Amino acid sequence: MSLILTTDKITKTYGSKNAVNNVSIHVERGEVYGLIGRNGAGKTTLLKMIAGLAHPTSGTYSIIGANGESSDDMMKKIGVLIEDPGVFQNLSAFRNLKARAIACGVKNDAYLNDLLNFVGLPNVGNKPVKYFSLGMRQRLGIAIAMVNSPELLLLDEPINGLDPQGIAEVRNLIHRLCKERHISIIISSHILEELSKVADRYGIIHEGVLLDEATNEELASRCRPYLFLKTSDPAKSAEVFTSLGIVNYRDAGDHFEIHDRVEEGGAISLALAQQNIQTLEMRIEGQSLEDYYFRLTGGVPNV
Amino acid sequence: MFNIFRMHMYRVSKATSTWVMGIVLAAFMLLSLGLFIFIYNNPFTFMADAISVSMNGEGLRLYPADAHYLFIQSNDALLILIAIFCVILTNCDFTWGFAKNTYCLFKKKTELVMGKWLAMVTCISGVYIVCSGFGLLSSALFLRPFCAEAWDEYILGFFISYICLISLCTMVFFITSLLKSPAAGMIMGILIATGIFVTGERLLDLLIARIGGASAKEMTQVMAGTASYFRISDYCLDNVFVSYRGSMGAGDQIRTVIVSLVYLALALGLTIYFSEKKDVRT
Repeated sequence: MSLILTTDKITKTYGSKNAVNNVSIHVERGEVYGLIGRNGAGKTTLLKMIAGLAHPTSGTYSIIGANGESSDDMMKKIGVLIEDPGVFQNLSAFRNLKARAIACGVKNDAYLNDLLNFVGLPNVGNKPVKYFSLGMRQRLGIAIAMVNSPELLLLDEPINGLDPQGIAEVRNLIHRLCKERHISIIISSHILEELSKVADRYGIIHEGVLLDEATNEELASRCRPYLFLKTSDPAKSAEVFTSLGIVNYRDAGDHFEIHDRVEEGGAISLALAQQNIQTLEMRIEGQSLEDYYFRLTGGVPNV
Repeated sequence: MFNIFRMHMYRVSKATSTWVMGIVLAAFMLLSLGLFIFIYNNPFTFMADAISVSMNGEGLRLYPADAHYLFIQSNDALLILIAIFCVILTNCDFTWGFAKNTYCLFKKKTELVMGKWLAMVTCISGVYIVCSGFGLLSSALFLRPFCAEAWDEYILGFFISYICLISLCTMVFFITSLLKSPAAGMIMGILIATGIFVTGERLLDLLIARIGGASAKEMTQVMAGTASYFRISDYCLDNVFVSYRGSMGAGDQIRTVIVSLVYLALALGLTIYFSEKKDVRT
């Protein structure tokens, strides 16, 4: 896969505070990139800079066209839903779509009706948007963002404040956008559980700093179970592991974290005993994605 | 730029507020007409008309430029409505957050500012032409016949006061865009329309003349604009607009146009500059 967006040490400073600090993210074409962080972590500011709504204090970003070149024209291939859906409350859903279509130079009214159908708003007629539910407004916001057939969609907290049904609808919509329309999506959220249901890759942002960037598989690997083992002779234990063919382990000082043959704790203990090494403590440990996130951000679980 | 212009025109045409303001404007114009009919047909002017007929063989006539002044330049209600319209048009997409959908399309924001400004100018031009046309037509029908030889003064006045008006609207556009505050824009528009700034500017003129050692007679001339003392109000857009008359000398006509164009260029340039420099806040 090729990259559609890269940021290079992008920074945004308000006064003396770094809202975003030297963040470099890489988004591949056709993937859903989940930007996870607490409230105030810098997710919205980062998305605003990518969308051209805020000026970076330093650093650059490139939105890369299908031909592999970054250009200003690619700005016209971005769809944005940042914070609340930006809609004229007194106009109908169709007229809101039409207004953005005119701005984008899109002249096909049938396409706009298709978009309303696609986001599940087929029969809203001339009802002004101010009478829509929050979920309907969010879906309309996504439809407006899609008017210019974007290659990259930026969705900032699109499930905020939605009820469970609304969350499921938006989630399904994101899946369909990616699968049926091959749109690359950056979605930010502070709800890790929901993000994990749609994202292919994650960027973990905390206090303006990108702490980690990893694919689903890489995160799964980091979170998979391992054997926690404490022995009476750590130096000699390592030789036993080698003799058993265990290579994927980590010496954590007072204990080992063994990632190979996790289910064979008994055999490992027996092999150690044969070398007169006493097993002081042994158990299978693991961490959920949430635990991994908390450990990384060093914080209290509030997501 | 033209797509943005078309988008704003579409939005304005579909907004309820546009039609409400149109109705209010029509009502004000009719009220103004009623007032002028009343003034022009009071017993004193009726007598003056009769004297004119007996002396010249024809009744008093109205200059088209004066009709234009009555219905446009001296019509506070029209100016206030135009200012409110400018504020709504300028700020509406920011109020509702729709600006996020358009500002993300352009790295350079100049096109967005120019598109919106062009839409504002188009709407104001429409209102100006309709109101001026209404003023002329209703004056001819209900007030007095026009002086046939005075149309060149009207045409010149029509274009110069148009430039002033667009310049004033661009100032409101700038203030509203800069502060992102409809209230600030409306206050500015109302202050201009009601002449509060003009009073202050003319007081400054007197102060400058007094500091320059003007006599009491010269102070009177300063107020009348016939003294040779520097008058700051001659270079203030609001005063230039309300004091402009088609019968002014060529020098004053040129000054009016130059002052208006300088303010217009400054306001538009600063709006573009700040749009490029500042983050989009919705």
